[in-house]
Amino acid sequence: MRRPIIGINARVDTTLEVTPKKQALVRLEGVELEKRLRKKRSKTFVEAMSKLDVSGVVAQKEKVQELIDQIVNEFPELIYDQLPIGIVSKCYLGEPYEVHTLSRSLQIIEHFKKGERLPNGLERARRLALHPSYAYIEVYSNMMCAVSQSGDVSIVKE
Amino acid sequence: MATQQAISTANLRMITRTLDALNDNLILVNQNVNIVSQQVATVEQQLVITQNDLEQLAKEFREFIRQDALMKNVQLAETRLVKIRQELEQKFGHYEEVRRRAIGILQAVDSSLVRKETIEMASEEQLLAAPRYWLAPCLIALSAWLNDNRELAEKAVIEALQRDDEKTSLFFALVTRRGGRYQASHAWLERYLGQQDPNELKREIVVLIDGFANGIFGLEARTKCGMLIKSWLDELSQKTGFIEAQQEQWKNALKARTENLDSSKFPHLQQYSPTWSQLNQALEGAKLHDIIFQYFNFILTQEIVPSKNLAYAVDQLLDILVREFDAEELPLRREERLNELIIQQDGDKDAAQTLFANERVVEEKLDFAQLLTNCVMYPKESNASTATQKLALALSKEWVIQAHDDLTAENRNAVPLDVDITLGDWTGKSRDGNNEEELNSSLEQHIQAKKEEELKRNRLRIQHWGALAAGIAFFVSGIGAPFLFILSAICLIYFFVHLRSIKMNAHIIEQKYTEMLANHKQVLVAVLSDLVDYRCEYATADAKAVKIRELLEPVTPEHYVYSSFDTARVVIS
Repeated sequence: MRRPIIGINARVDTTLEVTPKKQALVRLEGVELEKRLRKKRSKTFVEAMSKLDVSGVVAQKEKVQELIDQIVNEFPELIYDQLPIGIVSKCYLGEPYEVHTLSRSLQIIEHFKKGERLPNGLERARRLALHPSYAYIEVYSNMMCAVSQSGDVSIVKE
Repeated sequence: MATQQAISTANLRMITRTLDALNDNLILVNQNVNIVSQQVATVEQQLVITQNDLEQLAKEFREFIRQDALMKNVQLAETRLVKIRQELEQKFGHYEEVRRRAIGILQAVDSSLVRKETIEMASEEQLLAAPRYWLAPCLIALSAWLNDNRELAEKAVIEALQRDDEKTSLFFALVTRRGGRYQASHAWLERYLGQQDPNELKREIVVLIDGFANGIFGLEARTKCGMLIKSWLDELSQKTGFIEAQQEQWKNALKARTENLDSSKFPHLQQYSPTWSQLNQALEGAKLHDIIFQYFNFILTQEIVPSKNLAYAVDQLLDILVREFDAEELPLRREERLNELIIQQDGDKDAAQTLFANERVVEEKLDFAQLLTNCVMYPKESNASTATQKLALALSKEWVIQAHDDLTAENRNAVPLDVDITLGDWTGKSRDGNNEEELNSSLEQHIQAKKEEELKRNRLRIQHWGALAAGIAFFVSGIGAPFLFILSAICLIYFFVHLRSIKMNAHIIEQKYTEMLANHKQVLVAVLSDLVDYRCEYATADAKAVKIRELLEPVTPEHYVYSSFDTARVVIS
């Protein structure tokens, strides 16, 4: 019997799940972690991360939380402390702004002027963030992932 | 009363004369002081020039010592190379005769110009002349095979297999393929492949890859090889950290192609920017993209000249197999390679050691991925043909692209955003050379401040003002006691002489700083112009990074497996 290809899962489950979902995650370390971080980023994620300035100079708290959730969803295998410390990308708000950051711990999007130092160890990503070949930079505690518009990842270890 | 007047007149005239003389002397002293001051300034200038010359001389001397040491290293490496090659000749020279005869016998049989007895006799002599050498019994087996002496052939083959199973199997796989004995060739190849572990391959495996890439083996064998290569790559890729290790290995191999920048470029940046070493390194790294692109493009577009026939192609492989991979020679071959690298690096032993450690070309055993890297990057040293280079590059392309991407990101991250400029004790920063006005104004302010500080030091001291006050006081009191006029005059002359000297010095200081500002401004313009050129050159070189991905992405291994000697195609992925 042929299987239908249209009409599967037509019923939408509207039950609201309020209990926090516990995932049995195995902590990836060393080369396993590196291997995961090398995986191509999804198109929607790259688009979201490269347009942090879309909400203007002051981003709404909901917008920031939405972006942080997107980071968590992009890396479902990673434990919270393994996620990027922050995202740095080129700011298109125009002079005097140069780069902007999305800090996971501070839950804030900030725009920085030329010569203004980025906080939380994000300063080291400034050079790469300004390079036109990269859509945005993910900053981790011991490395940076430069992500191109196509989602390809280049790793710079420190 | 009259006497008193005469004395008084006479005394005053004398005093006036004395004062005139004193004034003249003071003017003379002042002139002399000025001359001495000028001379001191000249000496000071000469001292600065001498110091600079001395520093330059010390620099040149240190460079001379370095060059001398490098030259000696090169000479030493050349001498050692000759000795090592002599030692190779002395220790293993007698193998050469056996090696030549192996190909000689095969070709003699082709042309039917040599009697079978002669071949048999020559082979037996070689067995006596080269004990323990795997190829000698192979020759006996070969001649016995040609003479239809099965018993002797089998005995000789067993002996050869005992001496070196892998090389003997590969040797007979090629010889039987040359003779069109497909079944035998396949059996020998199976035997050879059965002994291979992709983690620990011997260097002669390159002969097999070469045979595969050049289409020497028949369809069945080629399909088998294709599948084997795929399974090796799959097996290795499953190993934790293997891909990461490959990328690191490729990064080192690509980095080793970096060329030094022309030292005459950007002279002002070199001289006046403390950031120069970082800028230099970054530009060298950016220029590497084009070097790598040209190299890979050359490999992929290089025309493969097919051998005129199968026998000729197999003979070439046999020649490489018997000549290049004897383990006994390995320690000397390693030493030979290191000395070659020292010469190639113009005597820089450390650089040669690093290259030697990274390239791992002369290793007894290596994994399949390392073998592919060696085939692409060191074809001469690993005896890889053009076809093998193309195939190896196609098989390694994912690792190469990833390694190159990482290398590019590292390089981009190492380019200083702001460049420091130092002129004397003034420092400024520029990103792209467009802030000339701002830097000029900062430079002017700095020099103005320095000038004002020096002018401040060049002022009348308390003793000079004291002399002026005393001069005026003596003059006022001199009405009652005329000798005080003398003291007043001395004090006033002392004051005015110093006042004049200070004015002259102020003029010299003004002139000095005006000249300094003009010079510094000129240098600053030159540095900024160098910086603009640097950024342009860097951007042009950096933009070429993408060409490597564009070049390698469409490459697939099946494009580079040739089937020159039959019409069938083989597909591997």
